[in-house]
Amino acid sequence: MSVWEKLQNLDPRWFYYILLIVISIPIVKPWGLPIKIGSQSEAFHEAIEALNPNDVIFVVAGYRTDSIVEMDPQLAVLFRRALEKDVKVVVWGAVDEGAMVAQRVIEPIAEEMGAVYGVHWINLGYKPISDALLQKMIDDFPQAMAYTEMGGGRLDSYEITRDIRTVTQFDLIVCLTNVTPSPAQSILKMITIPKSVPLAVGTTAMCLPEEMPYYSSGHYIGLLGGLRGAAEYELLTGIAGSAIAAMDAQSAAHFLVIILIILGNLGYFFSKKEAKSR
Amino acid sequence: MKNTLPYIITVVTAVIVLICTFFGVAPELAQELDQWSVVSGAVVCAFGLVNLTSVHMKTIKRKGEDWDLSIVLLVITYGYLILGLVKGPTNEIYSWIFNATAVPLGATFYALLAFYIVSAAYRAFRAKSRDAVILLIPAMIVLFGRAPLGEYLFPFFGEWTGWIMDIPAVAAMRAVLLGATLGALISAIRVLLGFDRPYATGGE
Repeated sequence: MSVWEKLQNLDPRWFYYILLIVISIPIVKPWGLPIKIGSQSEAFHEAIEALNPNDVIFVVAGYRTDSIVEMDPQLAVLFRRALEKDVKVVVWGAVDEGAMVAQRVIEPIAEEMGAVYGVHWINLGYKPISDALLQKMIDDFPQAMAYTEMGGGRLDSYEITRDIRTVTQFDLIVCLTNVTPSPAQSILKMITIPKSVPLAVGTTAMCLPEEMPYYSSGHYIGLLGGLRGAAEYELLTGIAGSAIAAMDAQSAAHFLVIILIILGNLGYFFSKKEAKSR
Repeated sequence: MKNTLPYIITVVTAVIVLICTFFGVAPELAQELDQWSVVSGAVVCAFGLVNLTSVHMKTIKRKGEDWDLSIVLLVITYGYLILGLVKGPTNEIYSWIFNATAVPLGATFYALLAFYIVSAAYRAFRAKSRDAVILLIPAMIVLFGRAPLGEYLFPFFGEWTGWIMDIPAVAAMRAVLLGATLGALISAIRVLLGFDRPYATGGE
């Protein structure tokens, strides 16, 4: 058996060990590589910067625990920046784990920044997204979002939600999503297009191509794509978070994948050539 | 009756909502139907719990495959449900259980993808045909271009990645979305006219 044939039959565990080592090195000692900022993240940043103090944004947590590595940094930097600008944040969990996942990210930040629950921010809990619910949010927001608020109170008992009668009163909707069908696309169809409420979206790298057409057509006013998008937004806001730190590890993993693709193809061609010559 | 009643409800509801939406007639009626739909969503969750309980209770009674795991599942489901109902979702213990189990488990499953991708990159991503080469080259450019290290070493990969993501990827995705939307529209019309009755299949 030739070297190439032996390489073809390598135990996959070797790749796992190599990946573990390759990712660990930049995590232990970051390289601090420069990150180029894309137009999508810049547009997202501009959408948040255009908000005025006391504006209220509606953040839709449409992701589950499986994508926290990419989505949590997006939510963290968005929430922190909003509080810095005195923008109020209303969070809604559009998927089953959304409200709980968001709560564990934003609650410590709110405590750290002295933001008061019910005044500067609120978590409305989980209510499954549907076209009917989104329509109800337009017609009667308090009734649509009744009974699920994380503190168990009525929406009119909190300062931040007391005067909100319809979802169109929000100055911006930000949808952070990693599920299919995308909640962002439902919101676009039911609220943004008919009622002209601006929508910015954050998603994982895997779901980015699904959301790109709506950004390039101008329906989304900003788009964060995966960990890279979060890192770019952290750079734009000057808020150092976990995304920038993780980018070096992602670079290392990407390079390992490229090297393995090249090696795998070389092995395939040479072993095929050897088999032919035999 | 089992098939006809759901059909009548579907058609009548759809026609009412269509008329209310397109002609602006009786908006309160459409709003009321929306409210029913929202409440139905919550009821469906409850039905899911009933179904889950029934399936696993049967397994436990029959001592079927992994019946002990069914006991664990029911104890955890109802224990967590009761805790949430009594103490609320912001309770410290309730949050701790979620943060200490669901969160790391979800992240672990996602992280496992990286190991599979590495293994697949070596074994499966082969330039065996012209089509495979067409896929392979842009994939490698995007891999380089999306990583800061790739962009740092070869700056042109960043620009090429931008072009691939903005033009061919968007064009392909638009075609997929348009196709899916037209398909959904036709499917909705078929359901509305009663040619397809997914609500009357009895779970088959």
